[in-house]
Amino acid sequence: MSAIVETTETEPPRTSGQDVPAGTGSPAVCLSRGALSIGQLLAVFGFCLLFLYHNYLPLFHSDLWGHVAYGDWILTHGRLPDEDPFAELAAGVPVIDTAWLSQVLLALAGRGPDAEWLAHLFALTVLVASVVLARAACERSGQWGVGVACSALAFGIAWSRHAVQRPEMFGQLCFAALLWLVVRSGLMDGRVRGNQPVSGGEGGWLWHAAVFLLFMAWANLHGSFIVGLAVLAVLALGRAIDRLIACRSLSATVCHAEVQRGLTALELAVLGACCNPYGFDLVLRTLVFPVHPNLAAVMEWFPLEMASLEGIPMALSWILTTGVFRHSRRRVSPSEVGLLLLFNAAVCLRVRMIAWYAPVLAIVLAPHLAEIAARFGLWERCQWAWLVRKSHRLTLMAVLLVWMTFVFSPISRPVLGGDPRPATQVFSHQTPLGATNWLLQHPPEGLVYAPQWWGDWLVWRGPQGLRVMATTNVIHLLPSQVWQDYLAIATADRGWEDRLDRYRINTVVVSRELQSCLVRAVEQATGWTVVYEDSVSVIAVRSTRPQTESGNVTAPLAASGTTAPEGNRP
Amino acid sequence: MSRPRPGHFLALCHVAIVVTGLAYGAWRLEELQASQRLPTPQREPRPIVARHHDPSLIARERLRRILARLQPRFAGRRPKINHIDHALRMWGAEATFDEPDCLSGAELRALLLDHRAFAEAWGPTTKPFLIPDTTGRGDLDFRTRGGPATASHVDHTLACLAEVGTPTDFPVQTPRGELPLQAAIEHALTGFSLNQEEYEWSTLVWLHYLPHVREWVSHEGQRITWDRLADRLMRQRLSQGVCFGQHRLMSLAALLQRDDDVRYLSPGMRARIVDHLRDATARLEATQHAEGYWDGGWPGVEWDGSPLQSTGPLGVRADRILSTGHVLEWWLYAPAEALPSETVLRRATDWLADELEQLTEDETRRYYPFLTHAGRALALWHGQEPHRALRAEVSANGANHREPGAPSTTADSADGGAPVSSTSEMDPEFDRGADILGKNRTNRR
Repeated sequence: MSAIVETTETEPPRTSGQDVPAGTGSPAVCLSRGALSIGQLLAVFGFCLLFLYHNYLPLFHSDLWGHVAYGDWILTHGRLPDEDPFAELAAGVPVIDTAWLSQVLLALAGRGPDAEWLAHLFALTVLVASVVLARAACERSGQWGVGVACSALAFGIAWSRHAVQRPEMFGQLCFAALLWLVVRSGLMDGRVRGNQPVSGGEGGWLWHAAVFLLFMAWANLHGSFIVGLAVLAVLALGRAIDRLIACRSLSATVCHAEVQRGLTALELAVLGACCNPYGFDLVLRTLVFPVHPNLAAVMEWFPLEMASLEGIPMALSWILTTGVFRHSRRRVSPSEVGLLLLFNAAVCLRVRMIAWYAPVLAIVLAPHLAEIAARFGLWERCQWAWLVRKSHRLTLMAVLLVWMTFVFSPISRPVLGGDPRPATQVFSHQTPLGATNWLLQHPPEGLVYAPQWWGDWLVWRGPQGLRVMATTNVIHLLPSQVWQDYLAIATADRGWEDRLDRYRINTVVVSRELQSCLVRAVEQATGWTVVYEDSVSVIAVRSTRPQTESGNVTAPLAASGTTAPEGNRP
Repeated sequence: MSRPRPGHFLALCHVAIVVTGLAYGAWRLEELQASQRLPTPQREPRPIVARHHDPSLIARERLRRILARLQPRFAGRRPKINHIDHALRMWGAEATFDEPDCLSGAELRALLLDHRAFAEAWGPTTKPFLIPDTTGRGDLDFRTRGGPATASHVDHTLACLAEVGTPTDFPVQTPRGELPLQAAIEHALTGFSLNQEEYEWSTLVWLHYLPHVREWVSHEGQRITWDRLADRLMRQRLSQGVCFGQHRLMSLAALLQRDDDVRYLSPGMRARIVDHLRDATARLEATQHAEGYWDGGWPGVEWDGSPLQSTGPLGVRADRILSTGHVLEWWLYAPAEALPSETVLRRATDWLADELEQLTEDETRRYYPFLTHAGRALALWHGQEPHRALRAEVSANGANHREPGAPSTTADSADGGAPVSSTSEMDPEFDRGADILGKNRTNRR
């Protein structure tokens, strides 16, 4: 890892955040090691805020709990589930658990003294991913300031997904690590140090081993490892195109060391990704996963819409990219073009891909931004040289900042003590806490209809053995007929009661905010009684059915084990 | 000639690795998809036979009178497909009738499987009942739930054809040429979902044509096992479903019978089905009206309440005949432990026979589909297939036949009909089924 430039207070300022070779070992340099500038202090402050914010972020009411429940199931049974253990309607559909390791980690956190451990794990993961991404952008641009700015840029573009507390967060961490590895190895298009390209990279066996190990972990943590493979494939192709343009010989291109290094990295990555309980099948299943028909009804798998939380930052990113490429004199490499084309197309097709597009954009733009900044002499012109003046006092302030962040964030409670936060603060406001309490007091019999995004929570925190129609984890596992029925019930479509009958559902949990049609339907339907309601949820159960003409009372033999009574014959 | 450089060798290695990887991926993907290939049905449907009979339940002369009223008098008019497939199921493909306005079994089947016969009966402007090539893969569908010229339930026609022993290579004349019946079975298999609205007849189709298959994967990616089918059949409230849920019980009884042959149910599931049927019978015993009938409220109170009070479009009397006829029919196939007491059975058959005899011609025409269930049930309880019972009675009456040494029964004496033995008039198929199972109700007593 290259060292960040270290200067004493008396040294003349360099261009902001430039990297220089590591210290020579002289006493002065050793003494200056660890000194920070105000700019770096601000960066530390930014990362502290990032951690603090994410640590206080309420735990989302959706699939997080499904993953915790899965992890808990794995830990309890000591194996991976063959079928979904919580949604009986998905019985007979094999589960490929692409995130089993993440789920185990989440379950271990969930087994902590309280649910806040999940928030600690989330905040730490986000922090590390952001720092690694900043480091990668810094390596690529040669300026730590640009690196931090690019990390912030990625965070801003993917703002709509910043609160995603699920195994994807580990995928984001792996993605940042991959970007750092490819930048560091020079696989992308060579590294820059002090505005000068650095020839070659660190692509020895250690680097290859790191790629292999990274993908081995990633494939077990989250299905997004496919995105990493795509990055490596594009980079290998980019290098090949680069060489082909340079030497105009296919033979020379394929024999070129850089091209072969890219290919080797890709092969090792695939090999690493195959080191999982499902082997190569995981790669295949993950590849075909996005075309599953049930996902067409899930918002995060929709195509990009410009007037949306993702569309606006995408539009801004396009404007930024155009501006940067217009003014940058740095050559735009085929790898950069390939990456941008691939990830833009991915976002246009599936909006959730913005989470992977943002870091790629940051890494691609980083050297161009640095080049523009250097060429225009932004730092000197703005008289911001004081930003890079270094001091150990600033380092102490940074330490103080980190300590204060620790003290004021919930993560300090296990160390420093204190009362746990109330549930209303720990869990997101859409979490059906009241409905869960009611269900705990009145455990329902039979299958329960609940929004799929609450299904996970209800399975985890609801009555023991609660059976729900759908959870977020089984959207792609549910037979399409069940999923269509679920959607029709969710919108109180014509025949919604008949569909409930088909599954013998007598208890319905409804989200007030997102299922207003169904709320109205259960409130107005004659066969239903609302038994619980608050500002978040409504619970309705079937009214007692009227007696028939026969009017007999019989108990199922299977349940009672007794002979049915003669009954009251008319 | 220049020596190859190490770079060339490495490049070749990369090419080999990439090509091998891609080839393996393609092969593995193909293999994964192949595991979801639908099973091939066997040519001859394996019959599901009645397990019990008791000739004393209904006298032969009375049965003959009832069966005579239920002959398929559909010649020369626009016969409802729902009537045709029910008639075919009741009378069988070999049935023939002396009445000129009756269609033979072969003619009934032709109306279902030959577009020329259908077009002749319904005219050229009616949409064809047979819909070939819906997916471009040479499949065949039956127009369903679209009016009188269409089938009334999903896979009902196919189940009827299976029950009368139609082989998979039976030629089907569609508006666009000939297809084997297998095309229709494959179409049904392709579209089958465990959670579709109607699945009772689909189950019967699978039981007839797929007895050699233990499991398969549906188009939804769900592994369909017989256990899972049984679980689905027992999921809903007892009275929900077509004909007050009786068809589900019929399918469950058929599942148990098939399991006697091939043991594809898990022991736990088999026990669950038996319990379920016993429970249904206990409820039926408890809710039988003093006169002997049942209606839509037959299950009584279940754990989640009573059935909703509702009367079918044809009225209370029709509901009672429908319910009672279907109950008597599925009991024929139920295991011995799920049978009711003799009193209950006799009261039900007496009431049903009385009602069928009192029906007007107009009522018989309107109620025809579920009357076929009632008539078939009475005939099989008597110990004969309906068409054999009708023809045998005709010949017996004509010759004033009385079998020497045959024991008399209460019913025979009461009705004044000729006494019959329990087995002398059974058709070979029926006899075989009863012998194999060793659970002949009459003998059991």
